[in-house]
Amino acid sequence: MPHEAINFAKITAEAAARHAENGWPKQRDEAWRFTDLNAIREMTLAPAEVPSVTTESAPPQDAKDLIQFINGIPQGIDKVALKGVEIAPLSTDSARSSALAEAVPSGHSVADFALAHAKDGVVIAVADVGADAVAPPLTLRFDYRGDGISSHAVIVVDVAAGANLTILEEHKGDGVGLSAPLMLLRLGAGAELHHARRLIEGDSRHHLGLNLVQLDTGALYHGDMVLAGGDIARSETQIAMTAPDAKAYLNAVYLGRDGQMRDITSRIDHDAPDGQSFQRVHGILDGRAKAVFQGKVKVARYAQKTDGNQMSRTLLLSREAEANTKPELEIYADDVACSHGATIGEIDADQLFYLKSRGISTEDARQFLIEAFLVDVVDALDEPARGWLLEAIAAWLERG
Amino acid sequence: MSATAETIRQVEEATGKYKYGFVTDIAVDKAPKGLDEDTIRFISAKKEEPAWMLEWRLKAFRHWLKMKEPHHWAMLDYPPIDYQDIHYYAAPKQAEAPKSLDEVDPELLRTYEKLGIPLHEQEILAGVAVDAVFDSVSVATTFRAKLAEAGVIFCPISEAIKAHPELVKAYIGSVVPQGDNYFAALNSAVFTDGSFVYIPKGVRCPMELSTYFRINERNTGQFERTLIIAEEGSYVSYLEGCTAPQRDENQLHAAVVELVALQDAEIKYSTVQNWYPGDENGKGGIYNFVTKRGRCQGARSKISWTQVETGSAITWKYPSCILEGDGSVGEFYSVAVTNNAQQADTGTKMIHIGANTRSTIISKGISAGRSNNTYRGLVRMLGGAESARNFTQCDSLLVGDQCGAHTVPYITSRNPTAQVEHEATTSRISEDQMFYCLQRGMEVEDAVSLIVNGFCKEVMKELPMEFAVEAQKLIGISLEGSVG
Amino acid sequence: MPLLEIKNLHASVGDKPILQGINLTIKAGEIHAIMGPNGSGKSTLAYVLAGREGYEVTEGDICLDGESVLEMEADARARAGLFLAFQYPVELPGVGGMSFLRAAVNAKRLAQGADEVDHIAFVKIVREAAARLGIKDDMLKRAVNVGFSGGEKKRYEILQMALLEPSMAILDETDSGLDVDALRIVSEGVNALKNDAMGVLVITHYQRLLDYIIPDHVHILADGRVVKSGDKALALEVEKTGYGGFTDAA
Repeated sequence: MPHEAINFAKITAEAAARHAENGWPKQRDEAWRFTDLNAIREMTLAPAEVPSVTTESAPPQDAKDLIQFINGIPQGIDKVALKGVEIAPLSTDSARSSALAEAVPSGHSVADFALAHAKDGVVIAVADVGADAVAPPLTLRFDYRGDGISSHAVIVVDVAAGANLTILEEHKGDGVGLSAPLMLLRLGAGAELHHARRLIEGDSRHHLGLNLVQLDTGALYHGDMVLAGGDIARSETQIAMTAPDAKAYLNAVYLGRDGQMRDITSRIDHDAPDGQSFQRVHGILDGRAKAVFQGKVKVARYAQKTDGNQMSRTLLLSREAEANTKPELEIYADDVACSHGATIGEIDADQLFYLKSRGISTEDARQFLIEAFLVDVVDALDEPARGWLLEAIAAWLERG
Repeated sequence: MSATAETIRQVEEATGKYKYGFVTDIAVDKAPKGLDEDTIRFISAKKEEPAWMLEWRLKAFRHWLKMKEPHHWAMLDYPPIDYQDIHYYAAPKQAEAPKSLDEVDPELLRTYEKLGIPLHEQEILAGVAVDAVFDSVSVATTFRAKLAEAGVIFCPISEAIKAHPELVKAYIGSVVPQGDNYFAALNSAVFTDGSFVYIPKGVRCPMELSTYFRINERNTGQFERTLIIAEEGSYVSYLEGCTAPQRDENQLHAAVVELVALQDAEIKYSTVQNWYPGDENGKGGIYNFVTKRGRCQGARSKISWTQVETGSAITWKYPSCILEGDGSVGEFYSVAVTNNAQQADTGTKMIHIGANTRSTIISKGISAGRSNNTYRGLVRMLGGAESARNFTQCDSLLVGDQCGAHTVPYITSRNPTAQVEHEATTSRISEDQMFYCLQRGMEVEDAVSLIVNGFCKEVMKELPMEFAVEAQKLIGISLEGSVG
Repeated sequence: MPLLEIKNLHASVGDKPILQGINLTIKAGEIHAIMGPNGSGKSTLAYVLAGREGYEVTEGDICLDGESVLEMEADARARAGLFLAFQYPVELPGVGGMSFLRAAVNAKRLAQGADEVDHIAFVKIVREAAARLGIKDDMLKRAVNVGFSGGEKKRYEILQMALLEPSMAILDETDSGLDVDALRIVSEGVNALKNDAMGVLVITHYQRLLDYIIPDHVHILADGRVVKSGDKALALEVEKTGYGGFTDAA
């Protein structure tokens, strides 16, 4: 249906025009205050083209629960066979294309960039198949390769009322490039989405991801992330609770070393009563790494009985690392329980001495305390994906 | 007669919530409206300032012309200010500066009496030295002789510029440079008076020092500038109070306060800000754009800000500490109450530069009516802030469901041995608390006042005694009508 | 050869000299008590012996089994047999009790050339030792010292002592914050562990702990020096007369 294809093309063209006009965000933009994109601004990037499918880049043909994205471009989406899950190109779905266009925050230059060069998007539609028949996790594997390429994966996940899906999303690969995935995640009444992400790209890559989450009545979004790769890596999540009783968990572990930049940005709009949001972000920084957690919770006047909590903790392992935190509350309803907490510090000297006084070596004692630092966030991770996420943490710590 | 009395009573009832809203009828000497280099020359000439001061002002003004009013980041909404529609100088007409209180216009003295600030030394019970600033000039400074015995200088800054130019020259603009921000630049160009305090080495100031600021004239801006220098090992506690008449139009107040604490010195600066907040509908009220900053320059010095902010239509104010000296301490204790259509965006900055520096931030925001109340704070640990510590506790209380309470902290650490801890909560007065008080026979407004004062207790206990009682009452008055 | 020999020990915290020439010799099998008023340097001595950073030895020596420990870090001293029961045991949120205990025991075993302890066997050993000290199972499952009462923390210190089998144990104000029952349990624990090869140094402000752990020698510490030494009778004397007379003498 050609007119629908035009719709998607129109959206990308408009986004391209906006990005051309606005360029990359600058640090004087409040949302980008701590993250310097100069390195990205100076890159010469060509949008990814459909890769020639070589043997090594081909997705496993028998995987029914996997979508592989090579430089952001989906491969063999027709192979997926999960009960209740339908995968389709976005360009032929004008309703969802429009929904995406509407959801993109105005003036969000990175979202515009992602859309601008997207050849097509993917729709993942999940139906309610009853509690006994919930599909196994769907894996989204993003594989990046080559130099000077920007990757633009655009994905709309629609979880129907009462439906339930678990996504395991992984970004990895090497080369000098930029990944800019854009996801719209729409959850119907009572729907659940468990979304675990490992961001473990190579040291020369940059990652600027945006997840837009829309929650209907009683919907639950559980987002867990380990951000351990890339040079400049930002993961932004915006959650809109437009109907009552919605619930969101956002847990993140970010790990940085050398001169890496880690940016965890979130915005949660409580626009309806009885919503709950819980965020826990723990970061470990070594070398000259720099990081920011900026999280905004906005509670609208009619969003009474909102429960909003944010906790951010940063552990500095080196003298040159820099941690920034900006937890923000904007509250217009009075019957709410909103709070945030933030700490920044190094390994506690008293604790280290206590461990050493028991004969434990400095190195082991530090390891104990680093792991202990992560315990609260690890405990908060969604059970099924926890081990999968812990692997990424362990791999980072092992690299030492 | 009785009809007139009735009218007055009605008017008082209608407007009586702000009890300082009267106007003093007094002959004034005013600069024409508007702001250009001539206005600044006029002010400087009126103040009989030396040439360097005029140059300093002009430099600030030229800088200001290039700046833009900061409208984007604070959570404040107000129409553009017409800087040409303001009188930048207004002074009670008087042949010469008063040499003693007997020479002060009795009408002025009555004004300060109405404000509860007796300037007659014999009437002062608490032993607080007072500098009274009326519109653009300081009208009286009490206890100067006694302070002089201890070597303490406490005088209008206009006088200090002439009498102690070396001190003023060395320190003015050293903490808040002329081009620091839009309103500080404006102040630097047009400031008219304010207090100057100098505490010599090793001296513990024998009494509390206090300044009362009063805006009286219509269409007048008040731009006072305060400079406090505490030499090595000295101590001073300084109090500041502010009121203004009730007027329908908005009046601009853009002050600058600079504090310098040398080694082992301590400055305690307390403010009860009660400028006219405007009426229930948001008409009138003071626009309060204030830059207050202290530099803990010497090792183990300490600067402590305590503020109770209940007035002003708009409050934009971030009393800050630059913790330069090793082991220096910065504190910020704040209560900000907003009601009706008031807007406050207030908080602090703690810049940790030296080793073992410590800062504490306790902020209590109370929003009522349709007001918006924002805490905005910054804590920065620089590379040299070895083993520095910050603790921040930031609580917001909402009274009613038409107001907003916002928290915007910025935290940066570049030193792993530094520890930063921040906590913030938002809540409302619980029904249980209210019911408990009502069941004990309290009226609703008394119950609110009691609970809110309890919520603010940590801050209130930092206020000097003389202010604490007044501040408590003020909080109660400010919240009147907030619970239906 | 003495087990622990403290020779003319001077130590400072920051620029402040605290210990001003302590001499003390403890032989295997002996229990010594150090008593002193607040600020006399008791806890500083404990930390200096254990090798805490920031406590600088400016003069003198500390020898364990005839070898100086001054160049050894805290963990090496611990593996060499020195154990400090803390006055205020530190909470370690997120550090599981069992893995902590196992790491400590294994560190010592590896240093001695022994194999790591068998996991299942270890759990059994810990449970038995804990039971003797009245430590409940759920306490073992929690993070180290987190949510423990004052008394529980002290018992947990003695549990670690039992598992690590030190040759030289230093008990820093182990009686503080304990009620009579807890004091009895902790003391019985120490007494049960005591043997002919082991030295014990009890640091305390009050005499009452010494009713339970009977010292062979009592030393009074004042202003960073041992001002008087004697036997158990000295502790009783202090209880009657207070520290006033000793500090004046110093």
